[in-house]
Amino acid sequence: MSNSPGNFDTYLRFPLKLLGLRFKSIPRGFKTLGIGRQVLFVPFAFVALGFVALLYIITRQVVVFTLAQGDAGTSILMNGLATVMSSLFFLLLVSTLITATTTLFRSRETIWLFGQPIKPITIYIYKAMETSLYSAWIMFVLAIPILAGLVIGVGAGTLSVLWMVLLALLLFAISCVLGLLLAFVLVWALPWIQRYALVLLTVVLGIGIYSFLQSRNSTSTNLLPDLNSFSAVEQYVNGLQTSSPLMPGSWFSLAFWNFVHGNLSQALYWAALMLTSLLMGIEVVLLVAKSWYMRLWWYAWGNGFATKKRKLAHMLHSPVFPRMVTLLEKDAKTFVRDTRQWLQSLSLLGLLSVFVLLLRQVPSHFKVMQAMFATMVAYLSFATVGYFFTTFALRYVFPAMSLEGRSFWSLLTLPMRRSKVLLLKLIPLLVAMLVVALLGTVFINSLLGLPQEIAKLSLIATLGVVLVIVFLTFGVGTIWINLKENDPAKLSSSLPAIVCTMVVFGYLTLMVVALAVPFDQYFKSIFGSGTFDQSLANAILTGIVGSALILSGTLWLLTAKLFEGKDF
Amino acid sequence: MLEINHLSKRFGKLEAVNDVHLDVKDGEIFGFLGPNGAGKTTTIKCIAGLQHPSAGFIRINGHDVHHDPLQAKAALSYIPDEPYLYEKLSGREYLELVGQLHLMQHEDIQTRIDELLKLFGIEEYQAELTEGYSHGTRQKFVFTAALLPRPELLLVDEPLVGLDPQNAHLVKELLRLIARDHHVTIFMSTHTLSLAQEICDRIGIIHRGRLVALGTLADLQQQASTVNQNLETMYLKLTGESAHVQLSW
Repeated sequence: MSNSPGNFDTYLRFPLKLLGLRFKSIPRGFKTLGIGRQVLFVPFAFVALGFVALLYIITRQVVVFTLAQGDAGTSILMNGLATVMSSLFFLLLVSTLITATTTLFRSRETIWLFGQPIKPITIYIYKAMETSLYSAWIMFVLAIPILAGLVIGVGAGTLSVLWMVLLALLLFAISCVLGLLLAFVLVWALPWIQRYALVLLTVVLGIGIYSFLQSRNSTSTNLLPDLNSFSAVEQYVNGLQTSSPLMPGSWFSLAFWNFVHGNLSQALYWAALMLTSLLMGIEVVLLVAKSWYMRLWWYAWGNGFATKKRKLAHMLHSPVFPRMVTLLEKDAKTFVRDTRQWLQSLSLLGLLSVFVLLLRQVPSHFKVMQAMFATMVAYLSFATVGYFFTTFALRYVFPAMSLEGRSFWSLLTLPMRRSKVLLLKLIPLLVAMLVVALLGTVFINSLLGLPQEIAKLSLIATLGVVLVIVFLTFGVGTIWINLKENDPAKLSSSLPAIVCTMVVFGYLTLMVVALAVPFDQYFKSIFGSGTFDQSLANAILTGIVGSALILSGTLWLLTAKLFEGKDF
Repeated sequence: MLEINHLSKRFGKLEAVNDVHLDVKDGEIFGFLGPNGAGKTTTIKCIAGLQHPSAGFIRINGHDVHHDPLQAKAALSYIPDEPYLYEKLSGREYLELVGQLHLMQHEDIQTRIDELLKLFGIEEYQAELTEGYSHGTRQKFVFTAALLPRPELLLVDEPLVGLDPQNAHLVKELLRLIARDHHVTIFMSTHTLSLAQEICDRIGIIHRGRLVALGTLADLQQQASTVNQNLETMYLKLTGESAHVQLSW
């Protein structure tokens, strides 16, 4: 008999050892991809690095420009940093929460681990570290260029840079710990959520619609200052509270700006608050894990997710497009019956609702500024909508083929060409995304009361961009199909998904830059310093749509070709 | 019915299947035997169109599986070694999905599902989601799905894994019946030598990717220079896998 392990072994050495073994498989997995698929990573990696560099350059330019605006600029930056960090904090929290419910409680690896002479708390710590790393690394990819651009733009010294890195690590760690803690509650509540899914969905939608209708009473015309008066704008910005002081994003901002401005005691105070919160969070998580991890693990496998006998349901027998309708129905049933899937969708829907609610705050009847302001927001919203659609595509289109899972042989052995299987999966997704894009853009354009020229630009460009986003995410998701993973959140945060995101972001940035030309002309025409050249706008639109069609066609041919030759 | 012509399949440097050449006739039950990692599943996956041969070709009813997959696959059903089903569908929904994707008529699907569910004794599970099924029940649903479109060629990878003795007996009888009465060709890989000995018309033994023996039981006895010995003895002799067991403790 061996001696029982001490605390150092239980809480740190063994979890780290298991984690090390886990991550050893990544380079091995890359090697087994084969040289053909490895090479495909090279152009993607270049575009991805380009995206990071571009994000850094844009952030630095924005910071330099904003600082040049005086006190109002500084205030915007302080509030902006708090908002950005709070958003990243929230995204990481949701991502950790969703990932933790699978990796900690439903991973098949844990079945094996619980059969080994290892303490449950060691297994928990190892899986918690793995979960945090899975969900946090995309945040680092996004945060590093933004924070680097900020630090360089502000002209902060080396110490400030190190201080910011420390604060970012603390912030992300707090977010992960909170997500891990909430995962216990979610796993416990999942059977009830499943049982009352329809009621819950109705309540959430009801609250959303109510909030939307309520936001009519506080439209921007009541809240925003007179944009013609610079002093009013400055006063308004200084009074802004874009992030709650209760949010760690604000603590981050306060700790950083106080440090930069030499107010060390305040900086240390906010950093200490973050550190204390983190340590307290870790203590609570470990306490809860010691008592509840194994129990909830059993609960998740044994009771929580157990299948109930249901009323016999039949598949529709459609006379039109029978195979497509059948597959669509299968996907819809899988989606509705998998709580994780629609929980993730709800969080995405929440983000979209926040965007629409914010959009309603845009002034719609400022006398002189109306057209300019609405056009500016339309331009920004084109970029934002593009990024939203990338997120949607990553969640729904990218994992579409992988989610067929190990049952994929059922489809592959059918008397159908593989490219037809692909088409049957792609067409409904493509149509859904284009319809949502069409309706969304028309809705946003009508909310902003855009002039016809700009509305047309915005609509056609959005449809072209969405087309490319769908084909690209579908293509990458199909070429790097992973039938062993059934969690869409994990698939969407895999290496190919990250590379795909960056490629799409790079493409979107190019489109935003191309659209800047007609939008700039339109601004100038409003102020009378130029004319809006409709033929130039049309030429740019034709370029965007033409390139979108060519890109989509090429991506389809490449995907179908590689998929036809793939071994399963 | 099935023609495997000098089939080879490589994974990098590993030669999983090496120049396998054989024909299987209409209504024949062909047993494909071999140790773990010999290339049985790879061969079956190549026949099912899930993997592409590095060399050689496979024809079903004269249609090349990889160049004319629609005609070739119209005749076949595949039963994999691991019975994975769509977990969020009920058993019946899964069977209906398979029937509809094969473009079967609605009434035919329903009648046939009822008949097959009764045959396998799994009617009581049809309304439950497949994620809650035991391995054996999943295996029975996979069998049901494979028989649903009335295939001419049935590819079975390890048919008896996870089945209790009653159902193992049922599967054996069923395979015999569909081959004899409905001329369904069965290509079956198995480790259960007694099954092969009992029901197969011909047997092929694959070892390290190569087909080392092919023929009826009598042919194999002749090849192994063994008379009146059971398949296990011959198999061990042909594959050289008769290990001298020793273990320090």
